[in-house]
Amino acid sequence: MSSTTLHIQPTSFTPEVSFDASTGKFDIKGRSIPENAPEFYHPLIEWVKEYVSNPAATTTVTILFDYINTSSSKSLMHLLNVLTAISENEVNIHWLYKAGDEAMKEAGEDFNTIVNLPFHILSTENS
Amino acid sequence: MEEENVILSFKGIITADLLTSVLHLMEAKMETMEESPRTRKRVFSILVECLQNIYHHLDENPTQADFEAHNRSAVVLISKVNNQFLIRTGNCINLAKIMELKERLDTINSMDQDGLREMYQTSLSEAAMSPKATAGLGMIDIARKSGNKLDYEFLEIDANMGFFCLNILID
Repeated sequence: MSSTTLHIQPTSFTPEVSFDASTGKFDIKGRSIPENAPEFYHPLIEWVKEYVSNPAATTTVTILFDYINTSSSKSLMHLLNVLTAISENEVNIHWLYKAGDEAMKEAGEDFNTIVNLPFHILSTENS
Repeated sequence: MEEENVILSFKGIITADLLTSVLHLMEAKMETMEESPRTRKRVFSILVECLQNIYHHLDENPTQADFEAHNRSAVVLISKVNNQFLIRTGNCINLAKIMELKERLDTINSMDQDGLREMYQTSLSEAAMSPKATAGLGMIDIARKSGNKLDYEFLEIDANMGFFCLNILID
């Protein structure tokens, strides 16, 4: 049985994580450039696997990266794919990027193309 | 005339801690340089991929002989040439792996930006299906972000080992 919340403090190479199963609000924020991303993301993915069996009425994932390496991108793909188990109209992905950060905007567009979930790609200036 | 200023160079055994130190150091150095945030971010993210690529392609079970032969050593040189950043890396590679790597690099170099985007997205979705697969995502990402072709060379060390040199000029 997973706990209702998951909090991980940021480090210089890994993001801040704040997941709440009761509200369905999932936040990932900061840098994700660890050399071994599966090690960092494995507990998150396991937690989300538990969550999708009994999700909140709506699930909102808010992602704001400064950097993401390719190793983290693979793990994040895996995590987002787990969320596709929830009906599509009950999940929203808010992919935020800092104004002018074309690289992180592009990263959001890549995920939007290959993940079967509704993506909203927004600059932090307009959100 | 070509002017080259070395920003950071390293030669030695590559460990996870060392990667972390090099990245911290490079980030601190760039903060003191008059570069646009966009350039700084590009250089830093390309460096992350370069170093992690080298680290992940080291043999998982090195022998004492590997250490003695410096097979786990690498060289990294970051410089500015005529106002553009250049990242050069060199590392040992098993000769048996060269053909596959060369093929992958040539495929990447044959693509334009749209082709690279498509290739990246395909590799990323395949990688998520089998998380352990190394889809060569790092190299595609480096090519995409640098805006230039991957300039590479293989040198022969002995009957088993080669040396892989990669030069990345960043737009």
